[in-house]
Amino acid sequence: MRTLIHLNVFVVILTVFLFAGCGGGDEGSSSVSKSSKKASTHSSPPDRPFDLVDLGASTGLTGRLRSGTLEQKYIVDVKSTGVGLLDFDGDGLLDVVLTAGSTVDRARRGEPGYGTRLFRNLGDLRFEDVTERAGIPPTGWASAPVAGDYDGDGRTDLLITQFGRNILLHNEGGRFKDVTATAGFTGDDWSTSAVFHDLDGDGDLDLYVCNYLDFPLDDPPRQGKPGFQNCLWKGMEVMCGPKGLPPSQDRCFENLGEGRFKEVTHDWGLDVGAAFGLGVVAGDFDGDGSPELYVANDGMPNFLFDRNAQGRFEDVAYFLGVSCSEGGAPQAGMGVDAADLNGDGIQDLVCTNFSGEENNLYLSQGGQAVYVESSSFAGTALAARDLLGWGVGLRDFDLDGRIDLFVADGHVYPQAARPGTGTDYPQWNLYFAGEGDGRFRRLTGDDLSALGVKKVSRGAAFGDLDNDGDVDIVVANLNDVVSLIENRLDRAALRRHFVGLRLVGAGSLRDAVGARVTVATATQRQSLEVRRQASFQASNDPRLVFGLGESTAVTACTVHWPDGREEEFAVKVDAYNVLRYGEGVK
Amino acid sequence: MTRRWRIFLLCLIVLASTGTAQLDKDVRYLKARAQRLMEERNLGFAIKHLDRAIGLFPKDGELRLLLGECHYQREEWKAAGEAFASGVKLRPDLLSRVPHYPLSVLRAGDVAEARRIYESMVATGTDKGIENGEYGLGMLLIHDGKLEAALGHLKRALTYDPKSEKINFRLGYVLQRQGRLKEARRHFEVVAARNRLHEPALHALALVCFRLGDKKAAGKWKAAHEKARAAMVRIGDCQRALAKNAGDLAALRTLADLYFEFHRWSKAQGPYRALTASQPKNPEPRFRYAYCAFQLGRILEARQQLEQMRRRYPGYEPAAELLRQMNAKRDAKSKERGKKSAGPIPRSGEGS
Repeated sequence: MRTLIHLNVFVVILTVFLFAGCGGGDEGSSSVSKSSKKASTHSSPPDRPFDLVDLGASTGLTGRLRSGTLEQKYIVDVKSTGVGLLDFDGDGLLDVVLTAGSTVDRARRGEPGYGTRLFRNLGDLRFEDVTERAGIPPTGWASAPVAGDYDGDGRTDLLITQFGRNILLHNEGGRFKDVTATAGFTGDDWSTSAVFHDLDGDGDLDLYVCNYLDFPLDDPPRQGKPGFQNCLWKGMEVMCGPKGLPPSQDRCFENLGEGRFKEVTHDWGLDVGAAFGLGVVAGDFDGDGSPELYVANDGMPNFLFDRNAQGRFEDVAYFLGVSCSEGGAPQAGMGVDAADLNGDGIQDLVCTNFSGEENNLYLSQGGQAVYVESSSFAGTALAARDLLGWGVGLRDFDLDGRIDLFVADGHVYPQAARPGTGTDYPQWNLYFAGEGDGRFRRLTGDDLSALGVKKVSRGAAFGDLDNDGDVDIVVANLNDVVSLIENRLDRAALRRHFVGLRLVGAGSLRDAVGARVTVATATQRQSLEVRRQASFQASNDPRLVFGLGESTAVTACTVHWPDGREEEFAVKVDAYNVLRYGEGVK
Repeated sequence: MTRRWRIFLLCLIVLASTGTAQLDKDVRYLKARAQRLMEERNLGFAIKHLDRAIGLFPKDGELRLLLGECHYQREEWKAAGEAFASGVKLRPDLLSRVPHYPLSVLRAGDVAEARRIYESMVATGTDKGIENGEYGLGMLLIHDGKLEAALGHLKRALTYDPKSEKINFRLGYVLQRQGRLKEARRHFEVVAARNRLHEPALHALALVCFRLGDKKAAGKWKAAHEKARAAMVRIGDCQRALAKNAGDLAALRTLADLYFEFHRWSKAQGPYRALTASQPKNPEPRFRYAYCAFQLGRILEARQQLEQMRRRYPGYEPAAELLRQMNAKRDAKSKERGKKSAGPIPRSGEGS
């Protein structure tokens, strides 16, 4: 009998202990601890010839990327945390910039946010925090690190977009100087993603900045406030917005040289209306020699700006089929990227969306830049439907000569973790192996270790951080540590080859952003365009990595420079090659 | 003795049949209550109610199917799939009428099982079963990228319901992807003619006409799409307002009028019925309800409503006018019938 009483007492204590454990923390922290625990179990993944492995905090990319409170009460809480890859010190290794947010209370008091951190790559995927040493100033509610050599001095500069005034940092040789005051930026918006690209074809990098909405910091929207009677999601009260809040007009700045910019949004025809802008990618998608801009808007039709003969931009998204879903409804556009997925020479577009919506995959039709939303045909629709996508990358991760797709996921509502929502707050990231014809095959946590961990992910950047020839991924996780996902591809075992290219352009366009490279092997022809920005609040490795599959030789490598010049280069396989403007073989 | 036994047996039969009738009544009540809760979107409570009902009547397949539908609407795919499966096991004859069963299995990630269910639907041999099954198989093939094979299934499904919005739209989608734009346009136009709020078809029509070089039509369909989009946003707002407060008459009125404006007669009827009950002095909701019934071909119902209106609101002209139109139409029809019947008597061998 006594034993039985003891047993009962033990059971009661155990139950209390377990339930205390469940209820003691909030949803955010419980997901964090779960994630961390899971991540550590993946430190020794099974031996596979191709794996993506989250190295967690062991890389030195420490500190949580905080934004808002764990309750995520306001819309401004949920959109921060971006990631940028740039070689700021010119040592040939990609360094990492991480942006974090703030809280409404801190922002009201005029205090700095949780800060933007710069981590120097020490090699072997180890990093050290050099934020202060490199002159990165305290930031407010930071969104995206936007890297680009805007003055063509060969050193990568940095723009930090923010909720509030954006900050331009000039790279003066491994140390940044705040030059915002003289840059000529206008507006005090809530900026999200941005892109450096030569939009007017004058040989320097202009800037397009996505702006989200006008958030009233002093009187934030909340359930019950006039105009916000329905801040409900699946019957639960959640943070309000974006609906009900005024959207913001994106801004475009022309590079005037000498570190000065001039707003040209209206002059260039880009003031088509305020929208909830979140993601942007620029490039010559249709191959007509002039750049286009594709902008993801949250809950509003996306924009596709094409430059007309008069040099002004027009929004052609609707009739080209990239403004909304297959169902004809605008979706909650977050992150974007572009690449030729079906081998017809036209770049296809991908846009990540809210849970309950597919991530849109717009495939070009008949070799023309007209698109059909093809996520169901492509095999990517079902897996993404219950997830909320942010950062996105179209890269050949496994170097088989076909573009793959990675999507960083995480919900905006902590309430999504409650039972019966059909989704979760922390979520799996998605990976789809490309088939080369616009179709994809999903791989899961059973195939790639990093996909077995749920996190509340946001921005994702793509680049070869260990210079081993394959593309690694850095994912910013909200109120959590960053995920450095190492691409562990056993090229020897899989007989995979690559060619890596770093392009050095002429004059002020040293970054060679907008240059298009076509690489041909005995069996295949592929094209990629140099771009730094895509995904969500991210800057990527500007180098190009072509997967060659089993091919061991490149028969032709042609560069179409942004000024229209075309050059051929001889390149070495399984190595990075530097291709300089004017130094081609013909 | 034999007689006594006979009486005893008779009593037993009467008692048993009374009991059975009572049980049937109970089950019917429970189902009706569950359906009402589902209509009110009170899904959590509906699930609790159905769980209890299934506890009382574990062999009733329909209760399980209703439970599956509740879970489906709550996006609880696994639970929905399990409930549907157990329901269909008890009532295999209803398989063709539960299109959400394979969909929930699919959303739970089991593509092979979804395919098997669709194949079973086709095997039922019923029109609805073949239509739903072929459509589902077509959709799975689209996800597999096998467009030509998908086309075959979708075309077979269409033969069972040539005006089906979902099948015509999906056929249009496949044909559009194959570059067969003129054929795609025809299917999208069928959908748009049937449902002026069908955003996907209106959007697709704008794109297809643009690609065909018919910019005028493209512009027309874009305008129609934008109009439908704006209406759908307002409909969504009304539905959210009504979910919060079912007595929000302004939202109810806007919802009804929007459906009415876009000729969604069956959807408009519900809100107009509710408005008729809550605003008995206002003749318009009742008139519009009757008009919807008339458009849906439910002439008797429309006539009853209009007759009542003539008595209750004698000066309300639109109702009298519609009634006159209906009567004139009826008279013309009967005249025509009379003429036909008064025609020459066919000679033997003619017109059997």
